[in-house]
Amino acid sequence: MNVVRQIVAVVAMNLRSLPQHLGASVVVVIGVAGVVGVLICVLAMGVGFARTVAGTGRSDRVIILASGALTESMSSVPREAVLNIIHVPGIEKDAGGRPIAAAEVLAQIQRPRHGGVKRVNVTIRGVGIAEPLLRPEIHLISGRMFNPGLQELIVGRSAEIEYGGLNMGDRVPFQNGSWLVVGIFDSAVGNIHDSEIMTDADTLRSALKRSWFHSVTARLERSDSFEQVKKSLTDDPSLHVEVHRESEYFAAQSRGLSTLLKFIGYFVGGVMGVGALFGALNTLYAAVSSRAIEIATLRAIGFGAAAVTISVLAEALTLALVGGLLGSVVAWMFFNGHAVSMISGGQNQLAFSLFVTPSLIFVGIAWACLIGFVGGLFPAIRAARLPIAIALRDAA
Amino acid sequence: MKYFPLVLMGLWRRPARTIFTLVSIFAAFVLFGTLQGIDSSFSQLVDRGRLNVLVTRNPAGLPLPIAAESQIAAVPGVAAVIYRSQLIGYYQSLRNIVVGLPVDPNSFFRFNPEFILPADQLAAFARIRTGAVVTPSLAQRLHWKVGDHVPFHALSGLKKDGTADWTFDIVGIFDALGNPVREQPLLLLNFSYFDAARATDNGTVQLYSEKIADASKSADIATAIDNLFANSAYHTQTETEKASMQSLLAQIGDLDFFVDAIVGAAFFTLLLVTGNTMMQSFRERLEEFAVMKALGFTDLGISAIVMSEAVTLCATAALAGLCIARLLLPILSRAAGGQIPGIHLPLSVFLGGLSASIVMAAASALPAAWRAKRLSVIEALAGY
Repeated sequence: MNVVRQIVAVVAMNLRSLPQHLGASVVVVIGVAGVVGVLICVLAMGVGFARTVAGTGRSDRVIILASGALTESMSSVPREAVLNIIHVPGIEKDAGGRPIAAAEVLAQIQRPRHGGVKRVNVTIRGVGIAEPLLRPEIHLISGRMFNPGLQELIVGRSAEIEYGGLNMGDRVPFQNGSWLVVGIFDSAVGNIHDSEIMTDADTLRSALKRSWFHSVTARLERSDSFEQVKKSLTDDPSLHVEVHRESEYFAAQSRGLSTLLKFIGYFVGGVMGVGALFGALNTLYAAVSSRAIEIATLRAIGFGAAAVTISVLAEALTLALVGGLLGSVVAWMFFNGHAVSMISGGQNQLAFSLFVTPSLIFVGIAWACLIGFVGGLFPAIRAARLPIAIALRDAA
Repeated sequence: MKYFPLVLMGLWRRPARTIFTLVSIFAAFVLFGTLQGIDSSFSQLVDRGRLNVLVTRNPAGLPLPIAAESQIAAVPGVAAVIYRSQLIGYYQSLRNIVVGLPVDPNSFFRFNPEFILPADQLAAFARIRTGAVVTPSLAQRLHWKVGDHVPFHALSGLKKDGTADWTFDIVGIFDALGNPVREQPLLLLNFSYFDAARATDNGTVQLYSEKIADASKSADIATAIDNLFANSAYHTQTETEKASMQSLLAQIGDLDFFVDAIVGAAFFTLLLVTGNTMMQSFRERLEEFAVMKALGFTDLGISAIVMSEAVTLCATAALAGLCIARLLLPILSRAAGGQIPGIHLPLSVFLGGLSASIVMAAASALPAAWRAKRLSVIEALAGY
């Protein structure tokens, strides 16, 4: 009990004296805050990206690509194969008995990045007339659906915000035509389609003079019809296609870049962490040596080495924790929801928002505590080992 | 200069503190060097873009017909035209993804004289339909050598036989001395063989490059080329190689914002850390400085010594950090599969970093130097 009371007393005394060496303490706090803020922001970018891409896929849909194709844009499905694909058993039918499935075609439209002159490639996706049944999560927030056969576009909400000249009523020059924006859509969950432009697949295909499609997307009758669909399609020797559950396909698509962003986050956080760690070591060693007399006095009147060690550690951890919280709050307040646009899966842009999750805040705080602990440990040991007699004699 | 030992001794008064500060600054400059190195390697790519070379492609990403070659070649001012296509695939496993570029062997090497391929290897490349030539970095990575038959599994389209399996014969290794391209994993293939064997897009190419005699006429020639195809399904967009690289870089997106934010955060922290160290060390030595002043050192002399300590500390750490970043970048580049060519730490970033460290040292030592200048001998000694 005695030891605990000693620890409480010394820790309280140390913390109360923090304001007196404010300058040096601020260095630790700001240093750790910078590390944690940057770490959380880069990781939040990875999380935002992964959620946007992975959130596109649903387990009750399948995407059918040419066999061996890694992505939709690398795939090609001949027009003749489409009818065979969509009529395979296991695919959901609408009220009129037509399969809820669509062969889709992709291209790119160059648009200026909002507020800039640099042009970026925005995906234009030709979709089928079954689109509202195929992707019920996508709904128009203004305007109307495009008319098949006319050069009309609907634009995802993120694309409208991030790229220039894609507002309602705008005319978009594309493939010798002037395409009219007639509607803005939103996917509710914030997925990749929000960064896209959609139009009728056949209208787009004829503008591109393309005879083939990139992919086929279809609704499953039941989630477990997947194996049935997959077997019938891959067993058909005339097709050369492979079938992915949409949720798995998009989860796999998000992996590469989100791993890279995670790596960048931890690399930068690690290097900056080393910098902050040594800054903290400096401050705490200085704090210990400036308090040598105080510590020696405490030891002389009976306080144990443990109490002194823990008090220094507690000081370090408190400073680091304050820094960690500050960094987290700044990251969350200023960058949560911050929209970015980056190249993704091939040549086209994906707009997504940074997403600061509680688990990222936890990682940031843990990082801060680690810096505080290591940065406090060695000065704490120094404090405990301080030769009492010498410290007191030097003071006199 | 004769006071330099004094500066060093001042720094070495508390070795632990100096080393800790050194490591803090060092870390910040490793970060600065790595991030700015990547950033400026990209912009150097743009600088390398030639102004007398135009690039023609379809803005929607469609392939262009091979028949356009002769039409483009006939445009006044165009000295030479080449084309290329693209075959993405892998060797043995998905870890070894390579982008193959089907080209016409003879015209490609005539067009790009900086790529050096021995004449006999070029002749073999032109003669053997399944022939392929690679850069040394790719040959080294995949352990390919001249004479190898390499299986290549395509990811971007099938062959007419319904498979995606190609076999190429490595007939040569080409180099480009002093050009970052040599670090790139380039695989050149025979366009005629590629085009005859693939199932889709036959008779098309991905883009054309034109060499023009007079770089100042590039805009007119580009317009003339685009006018050829203005009303076809394959309308084109022609720009200089430099502009084309620029738009390619614009696609990467908002990363530069993050680079700047990270470097900014790291440097701000650093300013505080060094400033704090300088102030601590200054306070400890008040009496010493007073004695030096009493001995006849001028006010400015004392400030200069304080300032020099900060500069020495920061510049040493920055130098070490930038050197490590220089060593680190090629490793990171290789870890990324060499897809981003020529990532290195350019001299400009190196010197920029060093000057930044000196400015930072001066800024962080300013309060201490100011107080050293104003230090009153009597007060400081009385305190002692």
